[in-house]
Amino acid sequence: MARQWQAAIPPRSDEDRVIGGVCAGVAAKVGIDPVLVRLAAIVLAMTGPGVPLYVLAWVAMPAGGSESSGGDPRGSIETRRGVGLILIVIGAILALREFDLAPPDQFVWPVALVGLGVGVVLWQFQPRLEADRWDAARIGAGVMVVAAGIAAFVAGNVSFGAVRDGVLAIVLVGGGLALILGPWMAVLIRGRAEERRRRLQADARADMAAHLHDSVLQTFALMQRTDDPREMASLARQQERELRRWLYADSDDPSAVTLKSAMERAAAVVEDRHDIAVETVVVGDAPLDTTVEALIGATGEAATNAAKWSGCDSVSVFVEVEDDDVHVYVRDTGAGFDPDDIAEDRLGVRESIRGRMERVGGTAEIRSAPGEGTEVHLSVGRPDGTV
Amino acid sequence: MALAPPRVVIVDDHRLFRTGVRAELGDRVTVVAEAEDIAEAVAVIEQWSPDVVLLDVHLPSGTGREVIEAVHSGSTETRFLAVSVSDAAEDVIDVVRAGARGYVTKTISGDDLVNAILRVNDGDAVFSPRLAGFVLDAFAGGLVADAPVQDDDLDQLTPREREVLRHLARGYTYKEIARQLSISIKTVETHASAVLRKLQLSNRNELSRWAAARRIW
Repeated sequence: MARQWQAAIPPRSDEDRVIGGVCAGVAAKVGIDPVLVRLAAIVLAMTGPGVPLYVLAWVAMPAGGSESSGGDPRGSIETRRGVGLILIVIGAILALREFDLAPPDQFVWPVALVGLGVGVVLWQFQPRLEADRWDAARIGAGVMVVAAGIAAFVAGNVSFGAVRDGVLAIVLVGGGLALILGPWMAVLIRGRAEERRRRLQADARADMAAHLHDSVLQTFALMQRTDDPREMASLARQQERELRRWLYADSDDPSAVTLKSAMERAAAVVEDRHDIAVETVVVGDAPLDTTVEALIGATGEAATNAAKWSGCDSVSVFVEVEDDDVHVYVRDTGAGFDPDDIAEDRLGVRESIRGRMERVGGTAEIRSAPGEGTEVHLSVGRPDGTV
Repeated sequence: MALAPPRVVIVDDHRLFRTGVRAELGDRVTVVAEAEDIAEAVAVIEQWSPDVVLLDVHLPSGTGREVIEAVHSGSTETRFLAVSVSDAAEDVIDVVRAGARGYVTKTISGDDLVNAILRVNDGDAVFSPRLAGFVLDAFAGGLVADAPVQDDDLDQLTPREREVLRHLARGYTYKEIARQLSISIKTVETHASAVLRKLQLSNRNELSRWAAARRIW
């Protein structure tokens, strides 16, 4: 039964509409030109119950009297409700006027305008992150309506003769704007910050996942495929070092190369190449320059010697950067040798350490005795002092 | 020297690590109990009053610091040795400042670990080269130039203490340091303990600032 009743009522027109498409809908049903229906509606509205009738018809008639009803249904409902509400308010005011109950014009219209503006702006009062052009236009329109309303209120109720009143008007308008724009701005700013935080978090997580995949998981896979415990230990050591560097890098920019990071890298090369643990402790740091590079080269050479000749499974490297100079100690507790009695091939290596240091104005001192281990002490001044 | 082997509790959230350490320690120490989180650790330590606790710096529900603080408020004779894979200097310094007698990395050999436990049991400090480096770093740079010279000895290391720390960072044992510096082992131990005490008691601004500058999270 409801269906039959509904079938008798024409749908409103979505395409050909001035306000709600009521007139076009009725015209389509009756089969006459919509302009005639509209004229009739205007006459009705001016003389009598046109407005309430129109509202009634709007609410009663179903939406979408066109074939291409691809519009956003939520949007059309919201629009319908909003405009309907406004019309109901207007209708109510007009009705009240009939009984002399309504407040005076100079109060009603400004209040209505302000209400409309606030309504339009509040429409946007949802923490939406991506505000589009239409949002901006609607907010702009709302603000202008509010401003106009407040101005009209001031003009109608306050004498503009006094400067005081002008100031008051400005304060009123400004206050109104702040009232409306304030919360919206807050939401917008909070939204932006929230979005940025989320993006940073997501980036960090993606970074972490990518890194773990490239390094840790690959290493685990490799370790499962090897039976050689030395190889396994070497893989584990390599991975541990890499992960540690990634997690605990001192600098904000992990790619920034300083004495410390370069020294650790040099130690890593020796570890990998000679299957030996190089325990590296660096106190202080300095920027990289030719002197520091020579120092690192000599340190790597000394550690390589220890790996080759000492018979130990670990070497200690201690680097201390002081204000005026840098000291490096490379020490093993292995076989040791008599420094006065060294073979030619090792003399060459030793000279590559000593020669390197001397070219940058540094020194290399080797202390060793058979069975006592070996310690190489490198030192060089820092001409540029504290950097 | 204690006559009986020291009684040890292992606190670490990785069962594999606990098992491995227990096997490596053999019968040179007596492992009386294990724990895998803070609450269990505190309960076990109060129950057994062990001589030494091997304490992981990072535990699932917090840090080793919390274990030390909970137990020390009950004042037992238990001593702590921090064990960690962590290189984050501030974490290590944090646990030592809470009262651990030393810090070693998990890659330490079984023999070295036994020696470290015996040393801690005797009330000495245990500095791995890495911890020595951290401490040198933390006390480096002296005081800020315009600050008044402070009388508080806690805020600075003596040249001799620095010398001992440098040797520790170079990988020297106490015995080797004693020979190198022509002093007795006892003196080396005294210096190391003094450094530990300064690290724990100093309110030096640089220490906290230094830790803050390295905080990663």
